[in-house]
Amino acid sequence: MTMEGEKRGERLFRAIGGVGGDLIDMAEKRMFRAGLWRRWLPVAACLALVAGMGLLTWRQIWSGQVPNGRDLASPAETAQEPAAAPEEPSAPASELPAQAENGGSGAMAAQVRQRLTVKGVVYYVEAVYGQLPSKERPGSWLGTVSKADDPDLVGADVYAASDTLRSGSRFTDMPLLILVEQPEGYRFCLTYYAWDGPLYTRQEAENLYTQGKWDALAAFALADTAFEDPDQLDSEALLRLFLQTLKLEELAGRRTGDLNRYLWEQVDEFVLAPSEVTRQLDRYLEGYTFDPSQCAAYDPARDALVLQTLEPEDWARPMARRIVLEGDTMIVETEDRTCTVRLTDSGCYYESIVEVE
Amino acid sequence: MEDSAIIDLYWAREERALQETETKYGGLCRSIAFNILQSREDSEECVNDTWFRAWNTMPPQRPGVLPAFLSRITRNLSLDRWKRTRADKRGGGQLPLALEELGDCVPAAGSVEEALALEELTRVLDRFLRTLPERECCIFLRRYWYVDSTRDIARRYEMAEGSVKSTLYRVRQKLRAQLEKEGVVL
Repeated sequence: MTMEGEKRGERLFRAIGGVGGDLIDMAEKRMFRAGLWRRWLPVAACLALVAGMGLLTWRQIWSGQVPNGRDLASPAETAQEPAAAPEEPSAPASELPAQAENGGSGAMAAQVRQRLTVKGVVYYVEAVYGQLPSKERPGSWLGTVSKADDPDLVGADVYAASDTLRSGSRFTDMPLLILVEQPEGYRFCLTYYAWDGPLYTRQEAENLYTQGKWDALAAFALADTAFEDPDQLDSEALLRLFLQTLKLEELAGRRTGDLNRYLWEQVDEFVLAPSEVTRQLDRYLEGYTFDPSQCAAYDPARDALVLQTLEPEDWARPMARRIVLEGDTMIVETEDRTCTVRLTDSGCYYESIVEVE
Repeated sequence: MEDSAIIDLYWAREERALQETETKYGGLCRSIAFNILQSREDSEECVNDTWFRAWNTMPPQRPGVLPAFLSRITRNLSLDRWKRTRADKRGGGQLPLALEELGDCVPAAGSVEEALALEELTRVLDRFLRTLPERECCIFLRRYWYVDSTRDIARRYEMAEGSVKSTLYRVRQKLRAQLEKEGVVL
């Protein structure tokens, strides 16, 4: 680019900087769902075509325009035909008003920032911006909401609405679209982070910090855990910390190839070698002492920890209040905790988690 | 906290205004600065300077849209910083690309006198953007106001990146036609 061209570009860039604040605000908050519609449009078009052809054929059969129309129907259908025939044409028309009513629900809803927990994965939801009028399931079922800031969402089924979610990238920082089923239809939620364990490299943590995705970083501040030095933690607390930081895929990957079955279907017990626990804890703590025999879950006969679930008991993910990054140290402040983490290229080490008033 | 309450804190000269602003809009301003500067340290300084500038301008100012007000300060500070630092190291980031794309939108001025005042140019742009469909307007602003990459815009709006690029191209063509129509040269 020439200097003159660059100068013109810069001048225009500066001028754009002065356009109305309402436009800037709109570009920040507005969400479009055309991508989703575009993705479903070919399917909808095919369905409409098939339905249209089916209806046409049906009508032709009943009006006698298809000479061997009866060859298309089964004997059982043939027996019911006289009763069904007079009602058939009016059925689609009677559904139209209801569809039109639902179809007007594309207006943008108020922006919401909240958390949804589905199968142990926390979806940080940045926006809820509309509803899908159809009652048809739109994508893969992800699970049922077990916890949510909005109590109305607890118990709702959640579906993936983007391919990235299904391909296993839910643990990245890419924004994802999920659909939450509600009595009136599906609610669109754009998540800006989905989280299942606070294992970040230094680079990941710094990227999240730079991108302002602080709630994701707030996951460092583990609930139900507080210590000023790792050597203060007893073995039960260490086991709880293990569960809170566990990457289920990694554990499952060493034991079974069928991740979903291992994790989510009913199982009687999980048997963990103590080395599994320390292998995990070594990623987050230095200077701790873990004695499995001090844990209630320890089975001396098997020299193993036997757990009913790999999910820690009722615990919540915090929201960030303040994040400070100073050199290698990240300080995460949430509603009730201040957590200090030392970032390295290979992992993030807890130095302390302190409760605050 | 509501934006109006934060502005009231500025007017009351309470330092908590800065904390609340950081909590609510730190991420937004940080991402704008980072898009332009591609440096965490420089972005951090720009955001801190933004809070300082906001503290000095409220009062007397009472912005109608606080995030736009703050992010505009960040954007200008980041652009100035980018210009200062680029003498040492060229290239990288979204800004050079965005400037190049914009530079093609307008014909060159024959003389300094022909150049339109910046304020008038802003008014022309504001009017132009309001004539666009919302989607085109948002995509344009995400690219040339927030300096998002086309990939990020595609993710944000659940679109294909190619669609974002073609939309931007169409809008730039429209803008060029509009500027020519209004006799704008830079």
